[in-house]
Amino acid sequence: MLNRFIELDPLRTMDLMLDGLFPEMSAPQRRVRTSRATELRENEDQYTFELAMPGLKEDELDLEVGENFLEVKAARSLDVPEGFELRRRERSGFEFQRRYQLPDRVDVEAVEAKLERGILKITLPKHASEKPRKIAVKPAS
Amino acid sequence: MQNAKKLPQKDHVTPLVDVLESGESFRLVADLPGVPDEALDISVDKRVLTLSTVREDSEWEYHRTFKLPEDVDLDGIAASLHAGTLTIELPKGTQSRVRKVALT
Repeated sequence: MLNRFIELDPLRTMDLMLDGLFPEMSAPQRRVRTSRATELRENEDQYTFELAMPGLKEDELDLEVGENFLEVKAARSLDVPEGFELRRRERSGFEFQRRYQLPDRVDVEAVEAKLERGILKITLPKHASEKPRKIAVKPAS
Repeated sequence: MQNAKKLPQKDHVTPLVDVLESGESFRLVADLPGVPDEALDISVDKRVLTLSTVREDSEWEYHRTFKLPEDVDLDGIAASLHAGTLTIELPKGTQSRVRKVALT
């Protein structure tokens, strides 16, 4: 378990992607208070992490989850394929490392992560005890 | 007073593109996370390559154009989209490939 926080400035590529990428979700979303980060959102039922990480391979991604935290580590390096010379480089490799404290407990077993079309999406369902429960009123006998 | 229905203007986002060159081809590599295959539009017109995404569900579009070098073989251009990264291969035409017009 990593105990130290490593704050990284969002790289230019990330900013460009984040400008255009706002996950549309049906349930009302509450933004979890983190420094500048908009990739982690929350509603009644779950936390959702979504961030563009194009070209990232699965073995370049390291995820750790506990009942009250999520840690995401990703590193993409750009290489020049054999036989080619670089004429112009606009993309950048990136390193992303962030640990989120989650106020509500999550159901660790039910956490799902997928890397699809270069977007990492993690859903962390909240533990049943954290969700509001409707209490049925029994009719008077 | 009539309310004219106008299509919302979509914001254009310029994708970052790397340019690579080998003896046989040029290669363009762009990050386009979240773009499905069907939303991608790559067209070539008079040596200008236009890269754009067309999406109903998005308020913005990727858009970028490139002037292709003279030695690119336009017929051999190929593109593939994988893990959010687009690779466009632009083969160089062989110098000796001169079209011979047969006389009938």
